[in-house]
Amino acid sequence: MEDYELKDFEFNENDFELVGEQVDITKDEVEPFHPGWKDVVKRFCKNKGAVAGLICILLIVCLSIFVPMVSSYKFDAIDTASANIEPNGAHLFGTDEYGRDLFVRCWQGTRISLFIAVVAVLIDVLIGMVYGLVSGFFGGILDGILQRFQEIMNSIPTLVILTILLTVMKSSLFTVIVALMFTEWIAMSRITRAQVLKVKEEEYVLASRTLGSSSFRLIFREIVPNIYGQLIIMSMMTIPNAIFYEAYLAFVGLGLAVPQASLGTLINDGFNSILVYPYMMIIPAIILAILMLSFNLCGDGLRDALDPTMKER
Amino acid sequence: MDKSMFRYIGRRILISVMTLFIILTVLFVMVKCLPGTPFNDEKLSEGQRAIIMAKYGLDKPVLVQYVTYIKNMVTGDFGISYALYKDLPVSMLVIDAAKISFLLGIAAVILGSIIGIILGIVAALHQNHFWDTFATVISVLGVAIPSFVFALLLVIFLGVDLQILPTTYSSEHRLMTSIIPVLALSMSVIANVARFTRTEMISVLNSEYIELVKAKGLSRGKIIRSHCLRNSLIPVITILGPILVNLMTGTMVVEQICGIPGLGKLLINSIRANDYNIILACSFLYSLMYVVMMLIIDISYGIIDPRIRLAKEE
Amino acid sequence: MEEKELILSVKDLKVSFKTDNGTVKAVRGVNFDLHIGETIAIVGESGSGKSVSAKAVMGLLSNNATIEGGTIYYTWNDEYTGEKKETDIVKMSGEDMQKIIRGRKIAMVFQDPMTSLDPTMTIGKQIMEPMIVHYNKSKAEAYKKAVELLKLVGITDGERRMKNYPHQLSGGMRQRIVIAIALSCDPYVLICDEPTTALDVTIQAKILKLIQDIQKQKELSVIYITHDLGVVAKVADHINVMYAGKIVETGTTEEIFYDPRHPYTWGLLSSMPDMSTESDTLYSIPGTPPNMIKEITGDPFARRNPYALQIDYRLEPPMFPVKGSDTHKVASWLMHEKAPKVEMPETLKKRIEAMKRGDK
Repeated sequence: MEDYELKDFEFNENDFELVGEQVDITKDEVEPFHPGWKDVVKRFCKNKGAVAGLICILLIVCLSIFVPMVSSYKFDAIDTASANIEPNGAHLFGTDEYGRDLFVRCWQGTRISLFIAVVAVLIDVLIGMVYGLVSGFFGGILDGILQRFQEIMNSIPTLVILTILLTVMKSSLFTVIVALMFTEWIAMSRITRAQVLKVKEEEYVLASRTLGSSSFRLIFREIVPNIYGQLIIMSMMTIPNAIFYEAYLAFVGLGLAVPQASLGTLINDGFNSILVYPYMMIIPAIILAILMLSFNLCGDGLRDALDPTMKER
Repeated sequence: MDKSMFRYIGRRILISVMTLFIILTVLFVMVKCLPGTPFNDEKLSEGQRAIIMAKYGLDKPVLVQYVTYIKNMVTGDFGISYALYKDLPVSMLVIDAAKISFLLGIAAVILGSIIGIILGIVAALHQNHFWDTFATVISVLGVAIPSFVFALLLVIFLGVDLQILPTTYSSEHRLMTSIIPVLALSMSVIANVARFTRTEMISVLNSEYIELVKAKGLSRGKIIRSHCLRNSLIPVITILGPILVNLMTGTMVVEQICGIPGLGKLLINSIRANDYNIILACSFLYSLMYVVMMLIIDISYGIIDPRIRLAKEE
Repeated sequence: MEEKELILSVKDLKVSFKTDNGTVKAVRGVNFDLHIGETIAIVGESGSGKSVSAKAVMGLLSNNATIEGGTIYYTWNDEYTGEKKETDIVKMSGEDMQKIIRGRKIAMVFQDPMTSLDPTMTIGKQIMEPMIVHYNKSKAEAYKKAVELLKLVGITDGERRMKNYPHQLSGGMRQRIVIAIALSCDPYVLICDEPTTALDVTIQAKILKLIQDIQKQKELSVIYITHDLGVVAKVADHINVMYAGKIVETGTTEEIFYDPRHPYTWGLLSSMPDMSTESDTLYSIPGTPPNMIKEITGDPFARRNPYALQIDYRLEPPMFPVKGSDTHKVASWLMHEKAPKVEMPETLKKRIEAMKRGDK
């Protein structure tokens, strides 16, 4: 045991006075309060990949908005005199077989791809939330039917739904969005339903229900703030999926009609001359890959930042 | 295997069969809604077209067609091709194509899982060191970048620039011509499996039962071999479902790029040609594979891991 | 107690953890001794460093932990020569630790039996494993011993249970299995880290009784790690009260229960739920333990101590021996001769009186 050496200590005069009431011992030392979103931003910024992803997304969005506006070429201006030019100073990404400037076309295509993806995801979120809310809130037979329906929808491969839908309708921007709408809402509805069921069990909801207040409104108020984080994350993860499916549809020849361009149609057009002019296909493919990668990184970062406990899960 | 397990499997199979039936019905209706007929040849007169329709039974009410179709399907007869391959039985066309796609898919899953598991384990055991970073980069790239981009890059790099591998599929040189598509397809498998294995392995390594095993005085190697591996690899089975679904999407495009006469290519061609029966059969086969895969994964998971089996019954 | 041989002696043990927010000094100089056949307890709130100290003894600290100083001497008789040996566990290599000490000489029982068994391996295999690894026993021998061990821990249908998976058993059963595993290699020291916290109250008593019985049979030395003074009252010979990485009061069980000196011990005793007293409110120690990332000046308990002295905010108290006892020591400036006479709270005094009467 430690030696009892009081020689080592120097004592002050008031050392052996009781501190007594001078300090309020019932008060805990508390860490200074940080608002939640600040923590989220801080955690997000710590994640280098996510920040790089965000910067890439912003950059690509800016390019896709401004390049077609500013450039002296038009994305659908045909100029057979300057067809199939490899990338150079005048045409940064070269030109295609009709002499259209690929730099403008690529960014125009990105714009369309992004637009399709964002709109599709927004609609997915809306459908998914309503479906989940209705299913979770009313429960009983309705819930059973809705859940079975969802199960069946879920066991038809997305691809089959997409291809068949697109053959039924004419290929246009609207069709592609509708087709995408059909596929990703299921996950959203599941999250919403799970949350509704959880909130429904909470004591205060039961309490207010017995008091006769509208529990639908209450649940709505409870649910939206609880799932918005998850929905943002899901959306971030769904956007690259949507971009990919759009590209896939275009690639199998079911995309937008010419002369409209999306990343998918550009890749598809480029594929026809891949052995001769590989740049026509590689450039849009790389933009597509960077875009998907950035959204994934950003989504990962957001997930970790919004909910540290969900990390790695 | 006890009674409740059998009941569980029975219920799952019943649900699957019902799901498939509903899918088939939905598909049938949708295909009937497709614009145009397989006989869009301008030269055909109305009369001629009607004769052809009658020959194939397409003039009957949709409900009758549906019943006939289901009846034939049960005996393995999916009808004949109207347009794409004149009058050849669809079942033969589809099975030939499916064989090719299936082999490619299986090869990619096996290759991807092996590499992915090894990568994931190595990364988990060397957290925050080189291998971990390497595995993370690979899995982020593999998850984010679609397989057809990989296929394209491989075609251009290995096939066009270096000219060490053929770029298009041929049935004579099956092995060599399959390398590029299999590699491209396995990338996403590697990525998903590696990421998941790493997470599972780390959570097992930090679990309390591994702490107890450590307290028993077992060597690190022995702990990893006899406790960590099994516990972290069992859950990997659960993500094989989503991975296989991803792979289906992948194969359709990769088949297009590498010119592989697989199911995806057949489906796309038949859609372009409005060949009802092939579209129906292909879509149904895709759904069938999907449902069966889910079923197998669910059941095998229940058998392998007693914890899940119990949780599911509750 | 003095005549008994020392088996484990921890001196000035210091352990710290590196975290994202800084270095946490979890253990800041802990001393305790364990004699053969003795039972000691380390009592403290969560985060007081009691589990960390135990893990340091087992050599099971996580990767971000470092032992900054101190020694852990383990004394043992060589299996072949019978010669007495003393080793410092702190200085041992990881491999030696695993081959010689862990499981074989010192075994551990964990807090939560629900999560501390491998869910995918049969109980039999889990009990047999250490015997096969450490003593090269054949499967048949190990199996026989495993069934015997199951009997020892009160599981009568051992043969049948050997084939079970952990999820097929109840919590109490699982904890018995964990104890059987710990005993499988005939260790000399058993560390029980909150062995009953996760169990139902009725089973708690049974498990404690079981450990006590086995201890008598096998001449085990036991260290209990717990936050619950009630648990150790009946089983421990010696109690160490730990606070913020240091032992603040040490003594025999009687001394701690009937003559507590440290205000923190007073707090712990007052906050024990008790059927006999008719007090209307359950006492709880105000405040929370200090943040161990920050450098602590003075007595870490000062801020929560209603009897704090000026000096407590300046200097950390040494261990003062209590007059008339060799075993009872207290780290509080209140023990200094110049300190004002402070009596324990009146309610606690009554409580102790009641306890004493109850014992007699």
